[in-house]
Amino acid sequence: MNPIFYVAKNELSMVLKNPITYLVCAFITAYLTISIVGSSAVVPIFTSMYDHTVAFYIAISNSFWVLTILFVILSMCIGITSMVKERSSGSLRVLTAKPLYRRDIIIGKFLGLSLFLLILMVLTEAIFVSLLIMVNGEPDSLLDLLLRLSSFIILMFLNCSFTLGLVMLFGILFNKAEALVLSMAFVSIEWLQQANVDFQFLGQIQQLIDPMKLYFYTIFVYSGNYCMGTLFQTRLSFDAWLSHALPYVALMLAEVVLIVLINSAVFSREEM
Amino acid sequence: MSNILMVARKELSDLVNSKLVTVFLIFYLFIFLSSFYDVIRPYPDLPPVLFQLDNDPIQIIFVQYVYLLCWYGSQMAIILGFISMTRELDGKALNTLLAKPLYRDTIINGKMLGAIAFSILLFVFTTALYIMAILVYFSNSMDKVISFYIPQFIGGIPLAFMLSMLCIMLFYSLTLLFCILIKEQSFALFVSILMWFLLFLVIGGCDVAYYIGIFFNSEALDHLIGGFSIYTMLYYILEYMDIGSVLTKYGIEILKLSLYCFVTIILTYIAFLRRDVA
Repeated sequence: MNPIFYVAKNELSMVLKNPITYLVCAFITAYLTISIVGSSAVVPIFTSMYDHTVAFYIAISNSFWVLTILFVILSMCIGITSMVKERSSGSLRVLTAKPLYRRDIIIGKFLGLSLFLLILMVLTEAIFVSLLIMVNGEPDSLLDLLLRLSSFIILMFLNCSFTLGLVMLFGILFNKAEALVLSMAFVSIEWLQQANVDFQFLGQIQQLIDPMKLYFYTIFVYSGNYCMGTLFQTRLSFDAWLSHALPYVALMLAEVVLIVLINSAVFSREEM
Repeated sequence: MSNILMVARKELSDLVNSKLVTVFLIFYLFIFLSSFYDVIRPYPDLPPVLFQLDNDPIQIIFVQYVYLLCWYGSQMAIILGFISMTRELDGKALNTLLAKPLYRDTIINGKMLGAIAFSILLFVFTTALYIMAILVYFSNSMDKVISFYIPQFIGGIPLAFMLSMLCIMLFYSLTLLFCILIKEQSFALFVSILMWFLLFLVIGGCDVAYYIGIFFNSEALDHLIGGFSIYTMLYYILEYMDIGSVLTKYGIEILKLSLYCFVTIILTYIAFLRRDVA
């Protein structure tokens, strides 16, 4: 069997035993419970103002920012743990002594952790939306809901994968403290910001080089300064959203692939 | 006392002599530039935020300044606390220190003092950045700057200092506490960041407090839960720039923030004195 698969499987099993996983699950459970309880009061209000489907998507979209940030923080912590902890405990040195290419180790680790994130995201969204349907009733089209939800999960997954890859790169290049500060600085500037960290003079380039803005502009469809709609608004058909988002999604995917390739190249040359 | 100062000096020199201080300074500089640019950049058909409607430009700059110190400062405090504890645990320096004829509270006092000294350095750096920015940006009306803008800004510095210290010490001690209580380092870090996430973003945002309030049809409950958020506390406090006005109108918010900080520091002391940290 492919050695990448073994490394990925090992990484997945280790992260599943990590207490962070249990804490995240507990946090998500508590947060979703409150969201579902709140939605039972919010959805009727918005239904009376618009219609049920619009209100349903408002309930979904209210949670998307918090969940995204939570998964970004999770990606950062498991990425740091994966590289830095194994390096300090010496297990990475043991792994490199095995008959494996170094790139197999780094790609395997990345795939294992990414798979973990994907499973957690799918479970979270599936449980959330199922409960939302049970409490508030289903929207007009379940197929449309499925398509929009799957797209959201893919976008969140690609964004978190990039964060994971970047944090792993910091873990390869720097010692624990430096890697941690750089990772936290990245997450802080991107996601935990208070003021709008926005360099307008960079124009469209900003959307392309900044992962958070790329994620944002994929979900929100803008024409100039006017927001035409979002992934969570049915006034924008899914097809229209998709035709806007596809180039951005391709770019997000390319960024993820690029960061993994850089990681492999850097890790192959790194002194252990 | 000399032992405390010795531990504090070691803590501070460890931080200042590492590459971390450069990263911190670049990070602060980046946030300062981006947030300052955000309020001075012109909009299509509108003046910059500083001069829109009847905005007080110094008040707006002051709010940004305090947010840089408290919001981002508390994130950096998590890193400081984590590094301060784990570097010594990994390098067995804490074991050596504990074996010395020192009281444990001397060690924790020294660490806290070192963190405070480092935070003061960052505070001075940030304050200097903002004063320079005011001087440069309003340089075409220097009389107004000297007689009005700078004194107004300097008048707010004591409040900014107090809030910054409270936020930084809260998250520094909270991270120390988790590092002491939780053996798994990455887990301790994650819990600390999660606490920041909860206290700044989740509780006070339009999610938790709003949902619970609207479910029970009680605005008071919404305000009560939202009031636990540090973001909400800062939001109220920053209506004014001087400590006197804040204490008169929003003394309760200062009290809540101080209580958070005080209780966390006490818990950290208890944990460090009583728990096997080696």
